[in-house]
Amino acid sequence: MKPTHLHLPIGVAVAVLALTASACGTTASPGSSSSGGSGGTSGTIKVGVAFDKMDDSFRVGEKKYLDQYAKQMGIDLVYQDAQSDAQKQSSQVQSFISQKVAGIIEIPWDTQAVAADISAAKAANIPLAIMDQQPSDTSSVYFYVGGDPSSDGKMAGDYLVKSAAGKPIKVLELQGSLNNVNGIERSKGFEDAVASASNISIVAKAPTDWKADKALAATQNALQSNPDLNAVYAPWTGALPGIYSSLKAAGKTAAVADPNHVYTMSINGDQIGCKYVTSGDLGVDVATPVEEMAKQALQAVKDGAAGKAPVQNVVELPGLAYTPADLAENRSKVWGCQG
Amino acid sequence: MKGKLQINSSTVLVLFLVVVVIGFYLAQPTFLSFSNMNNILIQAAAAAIAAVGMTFVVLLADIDLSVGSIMSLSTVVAVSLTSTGSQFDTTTSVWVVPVALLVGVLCGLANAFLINRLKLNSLIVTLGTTSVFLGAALTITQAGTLVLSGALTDLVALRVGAVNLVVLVVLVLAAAAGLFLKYRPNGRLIYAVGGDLRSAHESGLSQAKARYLGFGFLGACSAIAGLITVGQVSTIEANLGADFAFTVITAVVIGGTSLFGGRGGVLGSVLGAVLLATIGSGLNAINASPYVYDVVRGTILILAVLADPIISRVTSRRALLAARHA
Amino acid sequence: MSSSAAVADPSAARGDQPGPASTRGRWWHGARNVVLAVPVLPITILVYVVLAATIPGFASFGNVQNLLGSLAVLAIAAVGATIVLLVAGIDLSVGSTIALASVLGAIATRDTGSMVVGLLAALAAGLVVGIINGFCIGVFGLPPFVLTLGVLLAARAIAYISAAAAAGGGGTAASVGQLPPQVLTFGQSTFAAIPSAFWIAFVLVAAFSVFLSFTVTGRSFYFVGSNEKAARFNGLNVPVMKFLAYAIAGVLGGVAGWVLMTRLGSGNATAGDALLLQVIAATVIGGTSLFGGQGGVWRTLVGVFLITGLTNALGLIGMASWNQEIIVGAVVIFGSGLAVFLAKFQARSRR
Repeated sequence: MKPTHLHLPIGVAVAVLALTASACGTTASPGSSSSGGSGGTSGTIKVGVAFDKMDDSFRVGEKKYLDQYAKQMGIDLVYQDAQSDAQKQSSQVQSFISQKVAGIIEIPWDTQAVAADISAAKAANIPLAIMDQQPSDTSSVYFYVGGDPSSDGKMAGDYLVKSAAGKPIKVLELQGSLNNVNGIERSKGFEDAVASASNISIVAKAPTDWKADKALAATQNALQSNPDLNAVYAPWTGALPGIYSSLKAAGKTAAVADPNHVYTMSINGDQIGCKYVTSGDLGVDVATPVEEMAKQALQAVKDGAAGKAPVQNVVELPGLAYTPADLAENRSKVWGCQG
Repeated sequence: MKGKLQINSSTVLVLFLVVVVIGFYLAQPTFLSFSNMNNILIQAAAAAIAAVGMTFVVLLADIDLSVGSIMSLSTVVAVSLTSTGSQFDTTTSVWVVPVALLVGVLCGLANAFLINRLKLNSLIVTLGTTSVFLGAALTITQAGTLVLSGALTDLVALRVGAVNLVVLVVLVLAAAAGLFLKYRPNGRLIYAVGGDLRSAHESGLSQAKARYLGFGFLGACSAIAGLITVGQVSTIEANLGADFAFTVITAVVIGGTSLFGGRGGVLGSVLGAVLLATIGSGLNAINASPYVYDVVRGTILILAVLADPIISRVTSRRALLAARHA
Repeated sequence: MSSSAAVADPSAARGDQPGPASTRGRWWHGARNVVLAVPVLPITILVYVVLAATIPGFASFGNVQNLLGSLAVLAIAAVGATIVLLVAGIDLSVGSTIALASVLGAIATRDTGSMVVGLLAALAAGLVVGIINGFCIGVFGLPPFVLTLGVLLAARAIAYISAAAAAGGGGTAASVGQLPPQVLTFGQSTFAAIPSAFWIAFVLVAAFSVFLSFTVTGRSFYFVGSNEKAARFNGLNVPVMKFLAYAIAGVLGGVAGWVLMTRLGSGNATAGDALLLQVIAATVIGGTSLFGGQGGVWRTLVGVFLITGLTNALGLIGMASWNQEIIVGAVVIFGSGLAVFLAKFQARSRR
């Protein structure tokens, strides 16, 4: 029919084959100079860091500590941001593997799909340390280090049980993102802790997708349906400013000793949490050990690159619950209170 | 005649709203109280204001997907430039309002400029600018969170009598915009351009001008919506506007403004935003699963779209009868 | 080319074919015409050459393999989008369809241990969405933007609910895993050093290209999109054509979702979120018109290559993702502008 009709597909096919052919030609040299190769600059090793997302203040904190300790340990870090997309992350990890980095640190977006990354890294003999989000199947991980969201939630719940001391409590439980293991566990931990206390009832539960505006709306609505609400559990500190402004608007700003006091509990231990614990507004903040996590992840890949296996391959680090009362002694251990 | 069209689809909307409110009241009696209605209006405010602006654009048979990003960029720039203090203790000044408005308008004008000059469909242009504006906002904040206090948060919490200042802003803005569309020549230009482009073309560069007007106004509205949102939650995260465009477009469509242009009005859009916020609040009150909200939103959208031709047929028949009897 | 088919021959409307006389014989005449018809091809090749020369690691074997594998899902979805755009429609629900198909496919695969059943489940999910879209838009004449927006919301919510239900015990996980190992083995497999996922995409592009250009039904899509009234007047069943377009897009969304599932070894309800932007961008940059009647699947594939190559390269140099956003957004705007301009220029020069 029309000869030109085949020109386009042929053109594309030729282009693709040419690309692949030229790529085959460069297989021998794993990239030139700065990229690829396990050698970075003079004695440092190159490690790829695959974040699930970076537009999140917790990730900003994690990056800060990774950078800090990497420098001390002689590691060059290259970051990739998967922008909350599982396929993108898988492709980025693949890219690190093909660049033959000395090690990879990954915060997985999809805790099921990460199994593919784990086996790919293993096949390529590259140590892969998973951080912060626990894979659903940890049987074959090289190394995982993260917080213990379930125990963090429990600590927050225990605080409420202890402080309430038998007083009737109506609590609003805000939940993080429910399709995320930290969100699920922080919620469960809290609920388990207060389940045994008969004076505490969870009158409202709202998933917020870790978004402050959803937390705000949920708080406003909960105050509406339950005017005698006197406790709010926020599994991340980013929700707090909005929560406090809702409470203020509803006139619920009574101090701790006052019977009308609204107990607030949170988790993260970042600068926002520290700020509110210092001011006395926040009853308890459970600081997740971000510094330790970063340090251990880096150490694990560094050891792996040198051929050593980690002592323990699944590490769950408990958080540190600190309150206004014990702030002075705990300050130095809370990452959000530093500098 | 245009006014009659507007009232009719809005009447349906008001009826639906009443039904929804009664439904939630039966499930949770505290739902129907003055303070809750006030809460809902506050929660709806950002979307309502953006919907008023979006109405202008949709009347032109255009669309703007970048509202969330404009919301983000305008507030980030404004707060960065006019506030004092540190990241977690940022004190805002009242100057944040005019600066945000300016940035919002500029973004809107940029959208219109690209659409006019590149002669591209507004869908693809605003698809691109969504990324550009958001990327710029994230670059400025480096993905950090800012905690706010000061003038902005105070303003947003301000009450005038029993009603929040924010709610008044919505009402005043919607009223002003509605009157503008109906009685001012530039307002009627917007209807004309969207409704019958050929005859509008005969009046010269009308489409380009109408676009600058519409998109610029939407940019300003997005900035206000951003300030309200940020002022309420007292934090800024650069990705705060992520899903916003779809919510706003849904509100406008439910409100009876046709995506093909030339028909509709701001009253419907505001009601649409209020309806969505009411449903959201109600589902919250009965502790429904989060996924229910999205399914409901999607279904309402489809129903509104199904009902649209029916309503327009009814109203045009009325107009025809009225014209015949005249 | 039979003259009796003049009525149904949309080549004039299609605008992607120069006149017959100048193309017979010399291949470089053909090449020149290809360049004029699809300007994005030489631009993309040029961009790739520049990237390969300046960015270390871009042209490496591993990276190319990675690139080809990761663009497969986008390419398959973009084929469907192209067909919908040809009939002057739009399908915003593509991302949600992929999510839904990957989740349902994963559930089926996990529970029956059979990949074939999983594929069928994914196809069925895509088909249902496509039928709903096609019915409402084609038969009832509802506006495509709003309808597919509603479907986008509903389908994604259903994907989440299904994934949560599959997690069992009232859980709320968003991804469905624990699939039999052959799923991932297939997903990561290569054939002649090129990832299987890419082959699937390539075959689909080739098949639909043939369909669109050589079959009466396929060519009718162009006619419907470029001049609906004339198409109706000429006896084409426009509602059915539109229905078909959306149904095909739905099924292709199902295929894309299944391929994604095999690549990741899990079905994820959050998948495809950012895909919508990329699908539309790739299709428009490739030269398919948003107003219908003009375009093709090969050029869409080239558009896909351009966008994924660019993001891949920017990632390799370690550019912050938000700066990448700015660049990609700018490319979308100016790339589309260029594509539209060149299409008009080419149409004008042929008169």
